[in-house]
Amino acid sequence: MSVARLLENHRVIVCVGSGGVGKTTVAASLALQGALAGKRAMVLTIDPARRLAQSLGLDTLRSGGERISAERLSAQGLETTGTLSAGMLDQKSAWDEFIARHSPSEQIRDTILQNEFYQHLSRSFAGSTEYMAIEELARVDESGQFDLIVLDTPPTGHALDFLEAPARLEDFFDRGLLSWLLLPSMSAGWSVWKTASRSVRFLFEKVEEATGVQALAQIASFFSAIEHLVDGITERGRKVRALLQGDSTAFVLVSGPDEQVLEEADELYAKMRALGMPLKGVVMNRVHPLPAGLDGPHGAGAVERVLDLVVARDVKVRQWLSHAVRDLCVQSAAEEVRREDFEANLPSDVLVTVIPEQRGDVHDIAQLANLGAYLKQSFAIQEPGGRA
Amino acid sequence: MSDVRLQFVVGKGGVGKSTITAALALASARRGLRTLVVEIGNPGGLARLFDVAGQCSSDPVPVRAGLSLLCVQGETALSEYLTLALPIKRLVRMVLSNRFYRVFVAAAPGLKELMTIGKIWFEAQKKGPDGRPLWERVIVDAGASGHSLQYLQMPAAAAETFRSGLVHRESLRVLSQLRDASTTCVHVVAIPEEMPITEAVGIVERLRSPLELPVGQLFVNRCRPTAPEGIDEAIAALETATLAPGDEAVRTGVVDTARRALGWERIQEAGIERLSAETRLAPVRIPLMVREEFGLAEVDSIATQLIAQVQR
Repeated sequence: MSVARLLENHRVIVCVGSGGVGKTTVAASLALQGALAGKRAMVLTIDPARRLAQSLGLDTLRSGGERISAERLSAQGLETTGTLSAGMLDQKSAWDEFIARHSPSEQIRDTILQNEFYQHLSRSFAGSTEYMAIEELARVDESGQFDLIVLDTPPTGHALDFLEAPARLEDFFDRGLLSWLLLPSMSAGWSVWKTASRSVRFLFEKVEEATGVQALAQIASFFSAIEHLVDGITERGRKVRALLQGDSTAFVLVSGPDEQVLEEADELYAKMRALGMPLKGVVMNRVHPLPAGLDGPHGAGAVERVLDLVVARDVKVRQWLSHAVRDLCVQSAAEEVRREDFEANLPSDVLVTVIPEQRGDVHDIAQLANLGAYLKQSFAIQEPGGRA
Repeated sequence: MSDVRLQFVVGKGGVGKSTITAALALASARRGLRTLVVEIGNPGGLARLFDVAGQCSSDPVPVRAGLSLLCVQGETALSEYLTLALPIKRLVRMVLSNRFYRVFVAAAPGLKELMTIGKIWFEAQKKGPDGRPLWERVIVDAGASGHSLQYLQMPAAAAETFRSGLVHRESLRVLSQLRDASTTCVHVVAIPEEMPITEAVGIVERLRSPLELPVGQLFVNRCRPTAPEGIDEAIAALETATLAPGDEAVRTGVVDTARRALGWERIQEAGIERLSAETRLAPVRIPLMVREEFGLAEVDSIATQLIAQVQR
């Protein structure tokens, strides 16, 4: 069974994995397969979206999403009644829209949007992309415009932050915490604390000294405006979590056969289990299979014989060729051992697909379609319809 | 090799940042410099490489002669920072047990990153009993995160957010050190493929502006040997040569392998040329090492290469 089977009965596919494994490419390829099966498919990516835009032959991606024209698809010989759209997450505008959606009044919305603390929070602080990626996924899903949404998760190395984002978002907007912060004293510069016990007062004087009064007043005003959004956001958090853990969502782990990448994949998988997020597929990308002819019993000796016959006199060329073959043999064997170890730990119902390394970077629709052929196969590492 | 005291290593995920960081650290230690190598976040690649994954704490762990490893975690760093900033123990305990503190630290984006940089900076400033810096080199793997630049932009962001007070002053102090080319540099790691090269160019541009951080060296990891002249002709000859019966299949395999390797080599050479033109830097090639297991021995051989580069 191949990973592409997941497209049949899931509305949301979340691609997770460490950086540099080809997550974006695999996500785009899965969405394309969905479109070719007649679905209205959307692939959502996070900055930098240039990679996905490149793969889809677009100059830029817009945050609202862009439909790849039918002509562009049919130019590659891809005919379908389905559609393929691609969108990117722009962190700053996603936050602004998020606030606007959940604000009960324009006044509250503007208070928040103009708050300095909020502006920094939404623009430059690490980690807030993860919150917004999930929010955007839920929003697109609710729009009802798509039958399939493939999310390419943020390129955080551990991707663990992403999985924890909904819970962290709820914590951040926790009502108990807010009520504590909302004491009028916060914006009054702590003057009310004069009546509090000496140690508490001292503590806050220290905090004020450390951070600067202005900043605290800004933070306080941010939280007091946010209070009006809490119910909406909390409700939202529950819905998003339900969406991620629901039957219509499949998590696909994209990995490569390198040692470090597989170690991270193991970690990620353990975390997903702990959080109740269902892993349904694994794509092992950029695997180096041995070409037919080199995997037989006559291996090394025959390679030298062939090279001797043709390039014996040109030492440099001979060395280079022999080196290339040797590297590939070592790499292929080592990868196979590692992959087997990794796959042995997966439950038997997780679908595994192997994609061999391509002949160059993948950055057009034809190549994405070609990858799709591998996604439809399982455990098959020969070229599709190839010479195996 | 750069000769400044505080060196960061950045790059997108999967390009071998940990490997380059470890090699720089080993090279520095082998040159007789008291070296601290730093891993950000949960113990990961570096801790595994030096086989101390279980032993990482907020204190440096010796891993080799003259080389210690420190794993910096944001939350721990913040508690530690408060211990230093608030001199009264009871007060520290109060803050740490405070619900606001606990939730805010876990949830507030950015704070952990800021404290992480703060902790590294603090370690880099430490003086030994003789008054000299405790570490002559501090080499930091700036996170398994694809967003390693986020750590480096935190001091500027914090200084802007907190307009006055201690955090503001501390951020500015850290920032001025980070921007001082006689103390700090940021190395960039790439691999010789089209998109990683494009991203490395982007990282160098961002380091120059708006971050204004001194750019160190540009490492291109996993470089294949440059193809010799006459390789195309040789492959073509191989394809048509008359062979002993039974060797045809092997020939097909060799030709296929050679063409693939050559394809990637061409992408590599074009990429490195573009990288050097667009960044106006001279990229340092680190060879691809295909092994059954990639471990310390391989990293050490990269270190040897880096040392040779200094001596040239």
